[in-house]
Amino acid sequence: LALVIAALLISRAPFLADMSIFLPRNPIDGVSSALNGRSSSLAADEALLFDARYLLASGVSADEFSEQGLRESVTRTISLLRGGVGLFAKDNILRDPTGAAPRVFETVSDKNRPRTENGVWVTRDGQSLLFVVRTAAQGTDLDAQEKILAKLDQAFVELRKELNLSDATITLSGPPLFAVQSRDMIRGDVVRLSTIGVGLIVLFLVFVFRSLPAVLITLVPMFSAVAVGAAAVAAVFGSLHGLTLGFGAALIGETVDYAIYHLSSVRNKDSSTAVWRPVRLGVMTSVIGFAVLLLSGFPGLAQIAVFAISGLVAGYLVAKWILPVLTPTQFAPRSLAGVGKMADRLMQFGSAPRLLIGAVTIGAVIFSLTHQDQLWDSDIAALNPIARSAQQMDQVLRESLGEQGARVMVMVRAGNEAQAFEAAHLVTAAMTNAGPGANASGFSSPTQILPPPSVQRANQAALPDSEQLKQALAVATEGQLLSAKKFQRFSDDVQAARSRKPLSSADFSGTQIGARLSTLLIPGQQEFTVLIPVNDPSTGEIKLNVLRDAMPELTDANVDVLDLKAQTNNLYGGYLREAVTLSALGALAIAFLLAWRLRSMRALAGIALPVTATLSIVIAALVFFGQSLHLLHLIGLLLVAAVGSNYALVVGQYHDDPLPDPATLGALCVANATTLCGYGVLAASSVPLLSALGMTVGLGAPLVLLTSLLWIGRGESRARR
Amino acid sequence: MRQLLSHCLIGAATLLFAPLAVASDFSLQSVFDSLAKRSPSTTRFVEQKKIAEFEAPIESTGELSYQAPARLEKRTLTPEAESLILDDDMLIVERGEFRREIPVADMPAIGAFVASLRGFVSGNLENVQQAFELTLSGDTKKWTIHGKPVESAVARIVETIEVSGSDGQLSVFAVALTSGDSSILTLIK
Repeated sequence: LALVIAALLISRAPFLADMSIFLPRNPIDGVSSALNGRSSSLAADEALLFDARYLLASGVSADEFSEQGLRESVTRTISLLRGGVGLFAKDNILRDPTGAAPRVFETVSDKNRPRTENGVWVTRDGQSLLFVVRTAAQGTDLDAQEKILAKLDQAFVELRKELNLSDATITLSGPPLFAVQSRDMIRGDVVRLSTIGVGLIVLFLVFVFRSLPAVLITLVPMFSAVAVGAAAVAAVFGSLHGLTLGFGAALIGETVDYAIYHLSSVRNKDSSTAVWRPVRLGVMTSVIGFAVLLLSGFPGLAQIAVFAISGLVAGYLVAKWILPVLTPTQFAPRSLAGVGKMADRLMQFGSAPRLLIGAVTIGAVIFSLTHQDQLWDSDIAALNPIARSAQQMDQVLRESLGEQGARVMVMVRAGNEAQAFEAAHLVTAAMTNAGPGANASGFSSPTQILPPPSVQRANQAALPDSEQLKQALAVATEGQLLSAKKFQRFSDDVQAARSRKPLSSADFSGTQIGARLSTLLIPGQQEFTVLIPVNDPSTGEIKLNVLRDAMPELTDANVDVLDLKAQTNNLYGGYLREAVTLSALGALAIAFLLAWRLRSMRALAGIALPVTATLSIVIAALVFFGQSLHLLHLIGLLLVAAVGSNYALVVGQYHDDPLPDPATLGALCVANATTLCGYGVLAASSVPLLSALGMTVGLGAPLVLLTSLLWIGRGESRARR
Repeated sequence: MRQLLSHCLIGAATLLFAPLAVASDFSLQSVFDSLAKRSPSTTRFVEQKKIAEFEAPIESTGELSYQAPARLEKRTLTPEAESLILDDDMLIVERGEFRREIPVADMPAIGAFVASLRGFVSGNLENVQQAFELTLSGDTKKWTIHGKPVESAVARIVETIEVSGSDGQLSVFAVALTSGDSSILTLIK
């Protein structure tokens, strides 16, 4: 079940008091209940509470039903009947001389009820009507939620036309809306930005190659990679998250590289393995880097890993084996040497740039170390794509509904409902005692509404049988204005209560109280859980230790005092730490792979140093621009490391190969630019996850090429050529 | 210019027929308008209640006070002190130590009773008509208004209300219940 809060922002709220868009007249499919404070919906609650008053009320005792106790009750009844209200509630007053019903209503009544005007809920400022809509569909079934939200909007538009209220607006809020919105935002951004990215890449390739066949050839591995990646994720996980697709769509930039290598090998008439060797090693490093993420417990990271690995491998295989078949035999792509010459010039500076890179890197590391507290963002809110203004609106509506924030929750678990309620009753008593000391005075326990069976049975035991009550009433009414016979229905009610089966939460189904109870109860096959949310104190923090120490020792139930925000952030922090560890392992795995293939520590250092330097600089730059790092920055960094080692491999070559010619360097620059296009546009996304990825890779990819060129290009290379 | 002339003519006609119009204008609205003009801040009252369970009628006295925009207090002084306050849409009951606030919506019958009493005291016709369907009889000097509950929740308990007065002066506010019980509130000038 999921709640939607709807606020009808209407300039003439009182006029619209009867505007119930969710009236049974035209019920909305998929809405299980809609409340707007109309008293009629309370009728079921009142009848039930009155009926069960002797089981639910506090203070039901044998004393109350003694001659003396009843005499006081009779006196009070007479005075009530003669008073202002008595006339209108005569029946209930006579049926309930001991006043059990008012005691029940008092404890059950919602102290934080919304402001009411003309019998319906309004916001604090009185400008809007409030509705609480409960959807029948599961909270995770976003398609169903989306349909219901659309129907609510549509119903409102129709009603507005019907009532001729052109200036009325509706605001929906709540988890279903946020979930649907996030999904739409991510989808929309992925589609929009990927389209722009691909468009930029194509334009760029057209500009560089000036040849349609060349551009088409370049796009083949790119689309193969996305198709295979998406299919692999769908096969493994059953569904493809929008974020994964966003990441994957940007990954196509990297697979364009492979096609460009292919084209340059066609041009050089050199299809030997020499050209492909560094590329193949680059693919292997990327695959190993992402393979580590498969171990992550964070849902989504594993999806990204599967997508990246299958996509990259597919892109590589297609470029290596299928593109030669597709390429016309006499095809001569335009040389990229022109572009490469600029890169070549960067390699002519000798060893001076190394000092510069070293200095900047040391500066960056020092900056990051001195800003360690801002380095990682372990607040999960950082990942929330919902606009702050929408979150604030949600807060305002919740406050209007009288909903209070509850960071701390006491959770009582036992084998069945009765046991859980018995335990929760003891916990509630302990919390009442410890409340002031723990700064946790306000809390709502289901047992305040529905006492456990033991308490209900004790109440029943205190009720007299019909003979005892008759005698006691006869004595109590002696000399009073009302005779004992006027209390016949009271007597009947007491007898009925004695044999009544104690109430359970099921007795409240379909009532407003039932709806309130259901939010605090989690039934299950093996276990029944009772939740006791503690209101956030107006000042200071709840003293969790005091609260925990006050909890009773229970043999057949578990009691936990949870700090929800801390728990969530702990969980997220755990994922973050895990991702950091895994990324470090991934980097280490890449280093081992390179060391094994290169068989030279010097060659390894030639590749690892510029990449590490780039990563340090990117981290410092992100922190400098106010970005605390989270999960997706980390993925971005991993991608930069993978792409970067690729570049460094090609630039530096290995074994005894000569340094690359300008054409190869040109291919590298073009490939780099396509990666920049693919990811750079993601930086513009309004979804924090996507923009983090885009910024990291958009910054890192060009930088890692630059540092590789500057680092590896050295004086002796010219001499050797 | 022609427009100005026609305005003048209409103005003159209005002046000419004004006394006639007032004489014939006896409606719920005119009664409530006159009540609104003379809406007193505090009036003493005597209430006579007939309740089947008690042999004799119950007589109580007290004060009725109204504060704009929406607060009516019916304060009973004898035989037992009790206050019944309607403030906006909150009903407040005070009996000695005991005090309870209940949203009017949760107590439809008594809510309709107190809200319409407030409507008569303050001369707010719309307010009364939300709860009762009204019919007027008599004349400006001595009028009577009958009311039947609009909502079924109220009609279950309240049979009719009957309110009488003269000019802008409210004199009797009576309510008859479906149970046969009744209350007659007489306001003292």
